[in-house]
Amino acid sequence: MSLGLSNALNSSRLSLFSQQDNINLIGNNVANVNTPGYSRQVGVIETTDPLATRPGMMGTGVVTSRILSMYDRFIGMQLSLEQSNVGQWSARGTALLDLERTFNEAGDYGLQPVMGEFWNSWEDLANNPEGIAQRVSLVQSGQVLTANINSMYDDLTTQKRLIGQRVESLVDRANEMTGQIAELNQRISENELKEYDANDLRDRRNLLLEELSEYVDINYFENELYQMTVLSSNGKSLVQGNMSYDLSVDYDDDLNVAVSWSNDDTPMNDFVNGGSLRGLLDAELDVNAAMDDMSELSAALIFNVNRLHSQGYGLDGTTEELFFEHDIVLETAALNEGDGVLEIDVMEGLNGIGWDTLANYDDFEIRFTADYPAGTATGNEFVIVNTSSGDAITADSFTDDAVNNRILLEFNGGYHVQIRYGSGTAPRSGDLFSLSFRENAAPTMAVNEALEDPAKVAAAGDLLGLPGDNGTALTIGQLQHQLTMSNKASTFGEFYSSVVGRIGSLARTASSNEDHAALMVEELNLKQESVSGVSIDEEMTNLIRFQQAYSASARIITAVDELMQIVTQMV
Amino acid sequence: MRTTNNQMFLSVQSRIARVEEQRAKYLAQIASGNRVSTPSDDPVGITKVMSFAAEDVRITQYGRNMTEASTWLTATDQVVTDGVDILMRAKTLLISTENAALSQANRDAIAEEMQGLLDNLLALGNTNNAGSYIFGGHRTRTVPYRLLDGVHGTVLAGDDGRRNIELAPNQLLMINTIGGGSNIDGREIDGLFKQDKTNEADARDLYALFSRAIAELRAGDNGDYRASTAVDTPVSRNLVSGDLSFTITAGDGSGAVEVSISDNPLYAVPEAVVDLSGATVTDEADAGQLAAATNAWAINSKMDFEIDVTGSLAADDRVSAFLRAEVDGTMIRDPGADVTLAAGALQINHVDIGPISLRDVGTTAVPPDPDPDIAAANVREIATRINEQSGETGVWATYTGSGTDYRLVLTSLEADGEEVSVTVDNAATRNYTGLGAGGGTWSGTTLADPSTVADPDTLTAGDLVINGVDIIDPDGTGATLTLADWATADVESLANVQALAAKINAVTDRTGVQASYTRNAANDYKLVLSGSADIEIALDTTPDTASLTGLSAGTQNPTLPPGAWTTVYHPGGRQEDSASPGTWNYDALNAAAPGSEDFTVYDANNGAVTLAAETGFVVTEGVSGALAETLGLGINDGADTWAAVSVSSGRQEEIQRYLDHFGAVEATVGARMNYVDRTTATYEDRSINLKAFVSDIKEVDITQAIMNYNSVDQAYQATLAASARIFSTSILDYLS
Repeated sequence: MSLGLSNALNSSRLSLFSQQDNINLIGNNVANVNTPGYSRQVGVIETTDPLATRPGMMGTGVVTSRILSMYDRFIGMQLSLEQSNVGQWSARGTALLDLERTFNEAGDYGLQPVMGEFWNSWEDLANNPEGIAQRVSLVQSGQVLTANINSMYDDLTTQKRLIGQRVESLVDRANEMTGQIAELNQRISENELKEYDANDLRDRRNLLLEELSEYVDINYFENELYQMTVLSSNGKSLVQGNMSYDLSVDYDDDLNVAVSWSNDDTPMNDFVNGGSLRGLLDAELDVNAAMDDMSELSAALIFNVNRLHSQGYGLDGTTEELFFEHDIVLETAALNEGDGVLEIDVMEGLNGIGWDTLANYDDFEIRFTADYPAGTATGNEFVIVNTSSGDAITADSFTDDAVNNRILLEFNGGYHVQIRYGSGTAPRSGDLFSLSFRENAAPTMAVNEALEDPAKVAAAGDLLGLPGDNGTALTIGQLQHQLTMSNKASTFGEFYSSVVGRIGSLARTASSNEDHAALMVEELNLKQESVSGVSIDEEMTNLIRFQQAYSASARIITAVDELMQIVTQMV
Repeated sequence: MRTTNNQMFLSVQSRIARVEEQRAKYLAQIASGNRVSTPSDDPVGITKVMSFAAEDVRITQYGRNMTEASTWLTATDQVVTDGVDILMRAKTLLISTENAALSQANRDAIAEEMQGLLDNLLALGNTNNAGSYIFGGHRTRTVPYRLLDGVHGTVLAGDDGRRNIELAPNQLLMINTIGGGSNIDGREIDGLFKQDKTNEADARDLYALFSRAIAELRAGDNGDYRASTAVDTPVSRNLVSGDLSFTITAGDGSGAVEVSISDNPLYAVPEAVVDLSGATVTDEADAGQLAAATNAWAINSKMDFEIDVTGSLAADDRVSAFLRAEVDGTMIRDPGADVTLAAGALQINHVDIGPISLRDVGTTAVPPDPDPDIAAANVREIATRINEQSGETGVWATYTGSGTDYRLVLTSLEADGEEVSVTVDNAATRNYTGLGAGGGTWSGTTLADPSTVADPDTLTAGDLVINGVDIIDPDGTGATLTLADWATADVESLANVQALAAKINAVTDRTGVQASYTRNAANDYKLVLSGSADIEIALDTTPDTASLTGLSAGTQNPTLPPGAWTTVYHPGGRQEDSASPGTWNYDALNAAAPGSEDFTVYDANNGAVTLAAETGFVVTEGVSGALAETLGLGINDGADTWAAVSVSSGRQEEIQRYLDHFGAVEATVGARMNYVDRTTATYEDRSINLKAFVSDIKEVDITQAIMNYNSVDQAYQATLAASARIFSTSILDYLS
């Protein structure tokens, strides 16, 4: 048996449809040539099932069976990885730029020259220890120095707050995206389970995954339902099927950002390994380190200058006067069983003797190791620990003042520390009190107001030397050469320039890492583009191809038509 | 590989962007001139830039330090150079006096020129550099040298404080001149114009040398001049543990200086710096505290009294004291309202003390309550005004008292107690300042004949006659003297003995006898009589009188045997050995334990100072003589003359010694100036180098940057051209 003319007519008809489908696809491809995330679509052309005829199997035509989306999933994965690197380093780099601006010593204005002026003012005073003008100018340069340090620290606080705000908006956006991915999962699954390729939806999902990985480093894979499962690097699901799980942002006691997985409040800070979120968290650590450095520098400045100044003598014979003042942070642990409250005041007779125990401006803790028996205490119920060095220290005197419900500790020449408690609620074992000289040193340091009377600025090291003795002014001026910082390894200036250098090299590393990752992203984008991008030349060529095939099929129909007429005329 | 349109766009875009970024970077470098504008541009470089820049800032400061050092050293150098000229001229003048034929007129002319040279010398010693006296040690605001009189040279108000400046990190240079280069070892406080005082014979200064030479020239004493020593300048010695315990108490009203350990502190301590009452020195720590306290007090009261302690006091540490004589103490009153005493209202020694502002202290009846702070401020204000003029008046003021009740104490800087004249313009001023118009002079007594004064009664005319003068009723007016019963009160026995002494002293001009007293124990006082010759005492026959006055009838010779005498000090702390009058022996007193009879009175008439248990420093072995000297209580009475020296040999030799001394100082100062100049030059070079280093790191090489820019710019153009070519053809062009 042989196939009839109608078969030829039919196969040409199928050809016309198939060529038309492909021309439609070309039209869609050309139309989407500039659509971000669009993957070129290609029709899969197949022959229809043949019929058995006498000569053999005879083709019955053509059909466009599927539409393929040209997207390389592996390049896509690589791209996600590099996107998250770009995100990480660009976020950190931007924050470091701010930090760098705070510490910009490359210009003509920075803290270094201000410190220099401060030391110079002491030397000017040493040159004219009788001078009032020199004292006034010294106090002023001290005020400039403290104002600079205060404002640098304020800058850092602001930057830290901004980082927090950026983390919040970033997490909001990421949550929004995981929500969208979950929704797309649902629609893709519905379509593809019915054997429809949901190419455009997949393109959108890929785009979202790409953007999300710029924010947070993620792993993702497609399950048997064509749904994309998105996991954080510690395996917490961000998207599971058509469900998404949010991240949430909170702040800890030190106002540090704390990101957590809202499903069970798992802390995520340490498990975010890439993306802008990591970059911002790192940037916050950078800012914290800079704040710590400023605190250390300020505390050391205050301590060293005060120690010498309080032993010197002003023009009017005053002594034991502090040069700098700052807030001391006192904390009573929230879990304490007793109701003791820590108080501190600067003792009269600050003469330099006690400077080496409590007043070396570290952080200290008073820990009770036993219940405090008010009235019969021995002073062995608690230990005082320098938390910076870990050493235990001893107060120079301990008074168990049960009448006034207080524990009084004196540190020679330095400070009175007392713990006041209510009747019968003396500190219990395990109670903890802490005091920090360092914590608020940078934001609160200021020149002692008493020195507004310039005669109280001490230049003389000896009461008998007034007014011509310049011993104290000289030794304070020489502090700039002393190894006062980093466990007596560097001077103030060296310490500060190492801080600036470190921030500079961090910023440099961030920017070169960002450049590198951006280059990689670009390469991968080009690769992906090479697979999924639309080439107009190609489309046009294909258009001509399908156009010709279309014309040819039409011609065949005409020919068959003529044949049919011949047949009918035969009748 | 497939190439798609977007791929081409993307790669062209990123290529152009990259080239543009480079272009912008070089453009910014050229525009700003800086290669490094943020720390990240060159993190290593920036730390170097910072340290170089910091060093440059320091060097700028060292430059200022150097200028300061230079002005001091130049000023010192000028003084030394001028001083050498003056000394050379003086030497020439003195050599010219060797001519025996020189007339007195010529000698007067030479004396006149010497006087001029002396004035020049004094001005040199008081050279002031930008408000600081360069020879004052640490006391840079006090005129260091002040002429005392023609014999005693100068008072040096300065100390041996060093003025250091920093020339390099941790490297100090001393820029002032204390002492000198010649004899530093063993030298005490010592300026350019003071010579080594450790050797007693040389305890004189350049001004004294000149003064004496002038006096000798005027006196016409040709070639045989007597040199007397001057020891009324502050001197020092080592105090050791247990040396002294003292407080300083008010004058007893007779105008005499008393130094006693009674319970009444003389000087209330201003601003409660320290209370000296009852202070006892028993060990080094005490001595240190006392010295520090005394200094604090001395500085606050602006009184010229100090004890110097160097470092922490050990057994051999140096302590010196400098005490002036007091002449007057008066009450200060509350002005009742804020007042300003006009200029001219108060004059001391004919010097106008100027306007004095006083504030209302308040009253108890009406609020505000009396404010002790204001009262203290008032008396301090008066004292301060007076002290500001002390250079002219020769009078220092300090004050005593507490609460709202103060006494002003005027202190003569002249150790031999010249009269202080006080002029006040009206009663108000007198009340407020507590000073009455008029003057105060010194008086005092010496000698002793201790006797016990017995229980009191009333003495009448004839009961006590000394050298023929009736002490109780000298003018026949029927005066009597009633003595209080002191059975219970020690104060009354004190009042009794004071009254007796006052009676005797009232007629001193007739009897030639002065009386004083000493305290043995509670209710046990001893009357002390002194006179130039034998003292004849007549008592009436009533035994009571003898026991009441503690005197017995008879003739007493002041030259009493050893033991009966109290110790008499002559100026300079020398002690006349009572066993061999006329010889000076430092150790006679020291050999004997100080008895409670020992007694201290200062007498301007014969320049004697006596120390006693109650009224002086408690003196233990080995220190008493030197202590008076330490306190500057001794003055030169002219009695202790020394071997005659001639102008031609002695004075010239001394001047030569000063010339050597000046030469040594000049060499030292010159060496320091060279050092400063050299360091300055080094720093100038270093500063230029530093700037170059900073510029190397921080600034851009413009040529290099322009070349970079050009090559990047070319690449940019090429990229654009190539890109245009890529886009120029498309299959669309060929489809019709």
